Amino acid sequence: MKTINITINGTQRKIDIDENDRLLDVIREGFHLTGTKEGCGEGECGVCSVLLDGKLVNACMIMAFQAEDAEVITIEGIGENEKLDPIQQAFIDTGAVQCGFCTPGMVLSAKALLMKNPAPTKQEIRRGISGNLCRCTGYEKIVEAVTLASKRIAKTEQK
Amino acid sequence: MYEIEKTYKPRSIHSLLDAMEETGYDGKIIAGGTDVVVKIREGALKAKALIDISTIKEMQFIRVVEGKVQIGAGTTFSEIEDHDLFEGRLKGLKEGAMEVGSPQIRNAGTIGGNICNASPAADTVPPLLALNAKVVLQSRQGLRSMTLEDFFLGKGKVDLGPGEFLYYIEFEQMTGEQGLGFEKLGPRKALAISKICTAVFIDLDKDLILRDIRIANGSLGPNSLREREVEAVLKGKKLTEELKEKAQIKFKEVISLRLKGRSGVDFKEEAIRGIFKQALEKSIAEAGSQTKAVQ
Ligand SMILES: Cc1cc2nc3c(=O)[nH]c(=O)nc-3n(C[C@H](O)[C@H](O)[C@H](O)COP(=O)(O)OP(=O)(O)OC[C@H]3O[C@@H](n4cnc5c(N)ncnc54)[C@H](O)[C@@H]3O)c2cc1C
Ligand code: FES
Ligand code: FES
Repeated sequence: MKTINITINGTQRKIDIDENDRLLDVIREGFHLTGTKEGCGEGECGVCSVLLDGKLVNACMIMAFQAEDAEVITIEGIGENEKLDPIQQAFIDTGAVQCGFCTPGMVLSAKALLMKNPAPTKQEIRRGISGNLCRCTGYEKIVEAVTLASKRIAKTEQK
Repeated sequence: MYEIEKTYKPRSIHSLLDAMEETGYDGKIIAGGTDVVVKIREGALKAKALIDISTIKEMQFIRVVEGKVQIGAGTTFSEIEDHDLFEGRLKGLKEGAMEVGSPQIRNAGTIGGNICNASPAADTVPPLLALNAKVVLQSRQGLRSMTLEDFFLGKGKVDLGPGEFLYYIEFEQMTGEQGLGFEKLGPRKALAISKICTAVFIDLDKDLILRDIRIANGSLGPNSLREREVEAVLKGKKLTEELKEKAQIKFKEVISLRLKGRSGVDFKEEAIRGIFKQALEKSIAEAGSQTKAVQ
């Protein structure tokens, strides 16, 4: 066991970890933030996606001790004061959520993409979410949702 | 189930060397973890101590020093993808990096991990071999350097001594008459680990003589390999359609011999002809103004 510091969703926390824990284990079982899912556990499906120091990564591929002193943002940490992030809202409005298992990861991938590229093409969106599998939607609605979110964000920024 | 007892997170090369010593040179280095974590969880890798190098800033750089491009082992695929240096002539390396997995894997996975993992399907390795890259290793004793080609000792094996780690990779900056081409089988698909890829480096003079050519393949041997027999067909010759054809035929022969009796050999030997041709054409296009004369 060891104790590490992690800033999780904006709050600095101390947490006890086992040397064998992955970041995913600590997020779900240590911080009880269960929006981050476990699917394949081997980097293929993206349902465990989080932002680590601003970069989209799979929390199942990172050992917890590696995140010492890092800043982690999970799906619970986006949006402001109980208000949904525009990406989450766009997912709802376009019907891009079916069973919802892939959604937290998809939203974070979209978030990472739009931070870097605020007006992506459809192709760039597909590439941006290429590490996230969805068994339900066929991706079309998801691409639509990200496009809508990018437009809405651009509009509010103009104002 | 797993047996990691101790973990280290050095922030400098100095403390990395200390940590390596403290584990009796038995600690496993972990960078992006995209290979290591999978292996630990599969039980294929047993480690009592892990040493994380992902936050050692001194190992994260892309720079040009006295005509040599140097890439720190801790540089991620995404950092290569985003760097201007890999826009023009060196695009072949960027294309290799962009082939890798998904955004998540590219953000975490490092070029050093790609090399040290020594998988035959490492996407950045064929372009680096074609560039005749050298690895620079560091230990308490100082620096040691060798060609990337010599660094590979077989599938999953590299020539790293105890207490040694990969510090950076370097290769000569390309000049006006040189080109690098990269091509991979089939359309890019996220997460499909590279099946076959080929990188070609050429140095072409005004009279279309191939002063130099280096060809490297992925997934057609225990590690990525230089294809010297094919290079020999081309080197020093005038680049004509006929010569290209001859090289393609040679390539097919070489692969067919190497993979004899393996599954998929028929398919692979055909595929390699096409992929090689495309990589070669790309390298010619990159090599500059002579291009028009060639086509
Ligand atoms: C879902 C998925 C998809 C993938 N797709 C691709 C793909 O398309 N193409 C591809 O090429 N690879 C792919 N990979 C493999 C992997 O992402 C790459 O090989 C990556 O480069 C590994 O880098 P890393 O930093 O994560 O290495 P790690 O897993 O941290 O380390 C890999 C090995 O290198 C050693 N090591 C790392 N850095 C050093 C150093 N500086 N000095 C000494 N030893 C070191 C480690 O001890 C370990 O043995 C994929 C992996 C996954 C999980
Ligand atoms: S659970 Fe992490 S990528 Fe599938
Ligand atoms: S909505 Fe069910 S997996 Fe994507």
